[in-house]
Amino acid sequence: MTPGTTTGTAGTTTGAAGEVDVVVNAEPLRVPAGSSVADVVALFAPGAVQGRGTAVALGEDVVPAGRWADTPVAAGDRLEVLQAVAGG
Amino acid sequence: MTTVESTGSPAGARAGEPAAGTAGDPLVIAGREFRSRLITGTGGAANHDVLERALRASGTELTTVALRRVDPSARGSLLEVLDRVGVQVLPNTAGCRTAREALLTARLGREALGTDWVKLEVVADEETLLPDAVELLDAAEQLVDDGFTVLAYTNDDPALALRLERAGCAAVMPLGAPIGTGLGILNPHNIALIVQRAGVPVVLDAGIGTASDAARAMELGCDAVLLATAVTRAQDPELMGTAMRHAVLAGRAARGAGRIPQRALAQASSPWDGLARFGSGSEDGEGAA
Repeated sequence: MTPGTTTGTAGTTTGAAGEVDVVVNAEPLRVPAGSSVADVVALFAPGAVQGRGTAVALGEDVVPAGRWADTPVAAGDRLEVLQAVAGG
Repeated sequence: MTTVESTGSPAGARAGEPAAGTAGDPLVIAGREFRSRLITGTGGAANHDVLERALRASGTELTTVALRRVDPSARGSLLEVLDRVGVQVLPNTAGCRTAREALLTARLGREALGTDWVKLEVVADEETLLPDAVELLDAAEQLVDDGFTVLAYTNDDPALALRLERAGCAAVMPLGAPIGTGLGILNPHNIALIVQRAGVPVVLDAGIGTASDAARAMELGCDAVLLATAVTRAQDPELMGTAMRHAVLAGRAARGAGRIPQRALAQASSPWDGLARFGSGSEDGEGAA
C-alpha cells in the first residue's frame, strides 16, 4: 500500500492528524491539511514531473502548470492527473 | 461539371506550382508549414522503439497523442521519443463523448503540451467511434472561441465539413472508414465533394488500411492523410511507415499530374498506321489488334 493512501471512501472530514481526504484519478488519497496540487501530485505519482506532459484538473477547472504549488486542495476535492500517452 | 473524381482538378496541386513532394509544396495548416503530408497517431505500437522507427520511416512531422490518467508505474516517456524524432505534438480529445468533456480535455492538453493545437474528436459510441455531429460542432465553436487551432475529426459529410470550417476550424478531417477498421475510403464521392468545397486543408483521417488507401485519399484531392493503426499494427511497422510515406507522395503527385479520363472501351497506345499484314491477309481487311 502506498503511504498516505486510505482504504476508506474519501470523505469531507479532516483527519485526526491534520489530514484531509481527496480523490485522485478515482483513488482515495489522504494528504496533509494545507497541501497544494503540487504536493498531491508528488505524493500520488512521484515520477510525474511538473510541466510538459502532465496536466491537472481540480474538479472541472484546469490548474495551469505554473499554479500547482499555490493552488490548495480541500477535503473532498477530486483531482484528475493526466499525462500524454500514445494514442490517436 | 464532370464527375468529381475522374480527373485531377485544380483543387489539388495547381498548374505552375512546384512538383508534389518537394520542399516547395508544403502542407500549410493555420499558417504553419509541413513538408510531410502524412500526419500520424502514436497508438497501437508494441513499444516505444517500434514506434520511433515507424515514425522516422514515415517522415511525419505532426503526431497525435492522447491524455490519460497518470500511470505511476509507467516507464519511458512518449514525449522523449517524439522529441528525438523531432515531430510536432498534436494532443487529441480521443474518448470524449460530449462537448463539455472535449473542452476540458483540450484545455488539459494545452497545459500538458504547451500548444493550442488540438485534434478534436467527439465520438458517439464505443462500437463505431463515429463522430457525434452535434457535440462536435458545439465543441469546435467553443474551442475556436477559446483560441484553439482546431483540427476536427469528422464524418464524411460535406455539409458538416462546411459547418466546421465556418466555425473556424483550421482543418477538417473526414474519416475514410471507422477508426481502426482498415476498410479504406468507403465514400470516395463524399471525400471528393468535401475537398471540392473546402477552403481549409482536408485531412483524410481514419480507416486507412494500406498504402493504396493513402494514395487514393491524396488522388481524391485531400491535402494530407492521418493514420496510426495501419502503420503501428502492421506486421512490420517500419516498412509500412516507408510505404505510407511513398503512397502520400505518389498520390499527391498523381493528383497534380491530372489522371486520364476513365473509358469503357480500350484505346490503343500503339499506332495503327504501318501495321504489318502477314501471309494472305488483306491490306484493307480488318487487322488484328
